Amino acid sequence: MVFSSLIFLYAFLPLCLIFTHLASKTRTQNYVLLAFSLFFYAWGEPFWVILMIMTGVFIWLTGLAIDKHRAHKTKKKLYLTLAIIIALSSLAVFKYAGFFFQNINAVFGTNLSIPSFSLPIGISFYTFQTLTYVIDLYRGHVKVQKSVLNLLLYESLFPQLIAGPIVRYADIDDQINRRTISLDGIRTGIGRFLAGLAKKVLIANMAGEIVDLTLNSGHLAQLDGLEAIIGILAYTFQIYFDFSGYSDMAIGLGHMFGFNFKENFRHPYIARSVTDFWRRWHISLSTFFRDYVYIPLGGNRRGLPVQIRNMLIVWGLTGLWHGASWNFILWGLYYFLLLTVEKIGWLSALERLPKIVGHLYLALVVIFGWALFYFVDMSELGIFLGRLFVPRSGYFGVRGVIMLKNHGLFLILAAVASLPVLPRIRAWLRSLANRFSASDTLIGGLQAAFNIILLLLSTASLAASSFNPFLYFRF
Amino acid sequence: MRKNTKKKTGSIIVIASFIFILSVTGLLKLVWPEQRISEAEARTLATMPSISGESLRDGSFPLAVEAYFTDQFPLRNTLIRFSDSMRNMLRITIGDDVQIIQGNQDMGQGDSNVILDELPGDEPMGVGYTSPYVN
Repeated sequence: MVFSSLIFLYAFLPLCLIFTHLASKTRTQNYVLLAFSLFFYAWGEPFWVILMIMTGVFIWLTGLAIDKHRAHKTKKKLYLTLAIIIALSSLAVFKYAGFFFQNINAVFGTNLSIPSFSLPIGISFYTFQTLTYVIDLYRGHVKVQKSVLNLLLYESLFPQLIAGPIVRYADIDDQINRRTISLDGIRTGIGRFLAGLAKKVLIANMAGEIVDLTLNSGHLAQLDGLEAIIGILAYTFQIYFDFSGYSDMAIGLGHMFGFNFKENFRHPYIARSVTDFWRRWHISLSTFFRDYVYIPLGGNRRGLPVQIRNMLIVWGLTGLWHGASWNFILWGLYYFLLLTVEKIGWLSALERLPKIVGHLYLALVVIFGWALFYFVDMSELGIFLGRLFVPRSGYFGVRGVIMLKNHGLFLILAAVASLPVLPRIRAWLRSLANRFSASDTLIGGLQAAFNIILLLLSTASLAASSFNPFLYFRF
Repeated sequence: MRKNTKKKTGSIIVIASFIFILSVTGLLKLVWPEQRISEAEARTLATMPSISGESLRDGSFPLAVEAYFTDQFPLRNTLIRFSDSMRNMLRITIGDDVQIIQGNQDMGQGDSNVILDELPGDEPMGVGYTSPYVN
């Protein structure tokens, strides 16, 4: 089940909200939330829900063992290693085994049968989440979780289960047992959820249609330059609004149930360097790799060569985390190169240049990066880059011009929406309300009306997503 | 104290309206008369699937329920028309002097015809895009 579906909005969510809030005790709420979360996951993964539960139970058991042997360094380390190996093994088998055997066959000319497991939804997210629990427990940063149900709730909590953000156990440890659900918190959560839903349904899905008409159209070789540019721009907006929309929905849902998740995006496209971009994009993943890989490897404390080696490992892993394919590794290494160049001097040079130079540089390298990310097939990437830089029919072919006329306005609006416009409008409205001493009842009424509009627009768009018109109807 | 009560009222309005709309629409779905066919799409609309061990195991049952829920959603046709007009607002149409013809259809409607294999921006409506970032 995904948040952007009618069945989630009009069946699952109201039932979950009503049943959870009917329970007065946090403990009972946790049971209700766990039941709904497991149902949510099993709806899309009726079989692999067992794997998720088993992973959670195993991590809980190793957590107990680590806690039991907390004075015995070797045993403690042994249990941590076991937990990491088992958790990463399931990720390796389901996500990377096919890729691994494919490459073995290609390099050594062997004919090993390639395992083809269906990838359990959200496995990369919940694996990393459970790792934060055992690692932080080993480090003594969190207390052991004695209730297996509470640990399963942390692992499977439906708002962040499928597409993150990667919520660290340390961040919600206290909230699992003691959390305050306030009217104000639920109100904030509703607004945030609907904003995320609109980002996903109204912007990302529409951008996705432009991507399908260009990059995924089956006539990649015939693209003119403008079409190629429009296609990759649309993908740039699709991936941002899709992913940040999901994160907004997760954070909003968290508020509705009394959980505070950290921000995962801070308007990344306004960055002026790649360094700044990665402080704003998928923050929960980049900080995970920083705290659990980069710093334990020595970070920047052991000289520049070791630091660069550590960065290479982190960015290779970041690429691989996104998918078992060479293009993702290439994408990760591309950012490793850019960050290394920035670290050895380009960043300080950028800071001295006019701001616009930084914005343009960031836009160009990020958009190019999304091309590496999008094309899993390297030959398609080659064709696309050819059409982008040396278009056969020039930059302004008929198709490109029509695409621009049809979708130019949408792309401009999407670009504006990716800037921090909404927070500024919200701040302006707040100051306006203060100046005129508007009552909160009035503000609440206006906010409710705005929420209903967003919900209506998103619902209409979702209802239309199943619309498959008979061809003659169009003529 | 008075301010807090007012603040509470604003939050109650936002929360109550949200829960009310979601719940009432969900309940309406239960009693809404089901449609068998969609004339505009020339297809049979999804009906409530029957449950079986196999369909539960292979995940086809939840998918069929979602299709049924979406196909039989109250006021679906009105919502589709609304969505269409919303999308058209975001689209600047090309000039009247340019006509686009699919494939090798006979032209003969002026000199400014353009032959394309597909019409950019004129394909069937969205197909429920999945997230590029799930997993």
